[in-house]
Amino acid sequence: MNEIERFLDQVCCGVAGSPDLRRHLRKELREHLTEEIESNVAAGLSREEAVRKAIAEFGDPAAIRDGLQAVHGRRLMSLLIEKSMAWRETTMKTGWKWSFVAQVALVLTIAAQVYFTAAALVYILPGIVGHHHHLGTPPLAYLGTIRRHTHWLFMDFGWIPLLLAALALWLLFEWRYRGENKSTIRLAGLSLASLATFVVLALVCIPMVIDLVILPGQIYDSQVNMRPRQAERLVVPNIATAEAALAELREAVAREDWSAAEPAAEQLDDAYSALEDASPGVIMLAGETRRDNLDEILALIDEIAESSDDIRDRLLAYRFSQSNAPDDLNAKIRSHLQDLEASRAKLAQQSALFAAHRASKTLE
Amino acid sequence: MDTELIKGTLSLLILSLLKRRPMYGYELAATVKQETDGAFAWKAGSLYPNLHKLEKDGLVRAEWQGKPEGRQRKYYHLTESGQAALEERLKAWSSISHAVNRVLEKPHE
Repeated sequence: MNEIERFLDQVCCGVAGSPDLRRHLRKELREHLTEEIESNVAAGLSREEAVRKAIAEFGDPAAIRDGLQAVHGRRLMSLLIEKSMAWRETTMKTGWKWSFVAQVALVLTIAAQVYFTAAALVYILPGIVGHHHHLGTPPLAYLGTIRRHTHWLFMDFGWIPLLLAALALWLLFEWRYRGENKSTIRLAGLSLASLATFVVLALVCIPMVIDLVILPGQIYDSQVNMRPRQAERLVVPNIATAEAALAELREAVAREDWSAAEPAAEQLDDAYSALEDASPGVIMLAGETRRDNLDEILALIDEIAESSDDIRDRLLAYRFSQSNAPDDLNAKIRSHLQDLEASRAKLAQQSALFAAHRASKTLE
Repeated sequence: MDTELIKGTLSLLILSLLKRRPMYGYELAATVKQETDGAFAWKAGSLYPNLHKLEKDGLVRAEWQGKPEGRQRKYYHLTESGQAALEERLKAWSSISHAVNRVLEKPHE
């Protein structure tokens, strides 16, 4: 009898009216089917065949329901259900568009995260480590480890086999996998990949941010707590380099050998720029005991760096364009060199460190 | 047979059958099938919406009959307005069929 009740469910579903009316309607239709089945059985059919035939002859359940609903009206709930089913079908049909948008968005997200991770590893991390080196403080141990382990990724082109492996995996999936939920699996795979690239980005960037937060504190600590000898090791080599470069420059200018003067000027400029960049505290601790003349020392270092920069610029311009007459060049360079020597003499007066270095050089 | 033509005659036949005596749904379908030699085999799916429409319009009146413990059937009775409607529709039907027949029976020239 279940078959009959199921059929009546289909027919009566959504027909409006009082519970009494709907009960009577169902009863009337059930009576009709029962009578038809009995007549079929009497004609010699088996019970199952009789039921099947009666139902088939009753008519299409959807059409009967429509007819009954046209007379008795329609229940609000069934109207809502039908609308929602229709909506679901339309969204299912356009589902691929949303899925495509989601997949493209995920691929772009992954690409952006990989790009930022690589940029952080290539541009920011070496800067931070270099800064620590310059200050004589150790970076977070973790940053050193990351740097060591990612060296192969960029320097040894380790990213190429990684990218190829990921692409091969994806192509294998697209080629071999045949399933209804392929698009959903692809979406899930891309989401997991995006999550993974985000975790990597976080693992790379969070320690950098922590380090940058503690770095200013380390600068202060390094200035206050650094022993003079330790500070000397950061400053003195630059003075030695500068002195050697200056000696070379003087000789080259005397010979008017401009091709030899250029690298000497470059070395001099680099050495004084490094001293300029070194924190004032480090320079003071490296040998200066008077705090009040520190600004003057720094201003003189700045002047010397500028003069060496001028010399270098003139030599570079000469090499590239050859526009200046050699006489004019000679005069200009000698003038800059004079300025430089004057600043350097003042610096030796102000700074025990520079004076001492000069003395030791002279002794040699 | 053309279902559109049958549909148009359905309520007319129901009303004229009920003029004989009150009948229930299955009986109506079985009688028509028998008297038309199976040419009019009404599907229950079209019969009941039509019956209910007539009931709603007040042309027929329904009544459950039978013992409460045994088989119960919903009998349809022709009402007075149903009677009037039947006469009106019969008139319309006869004028239509007369007109149609005159065209159909005209010998070919």
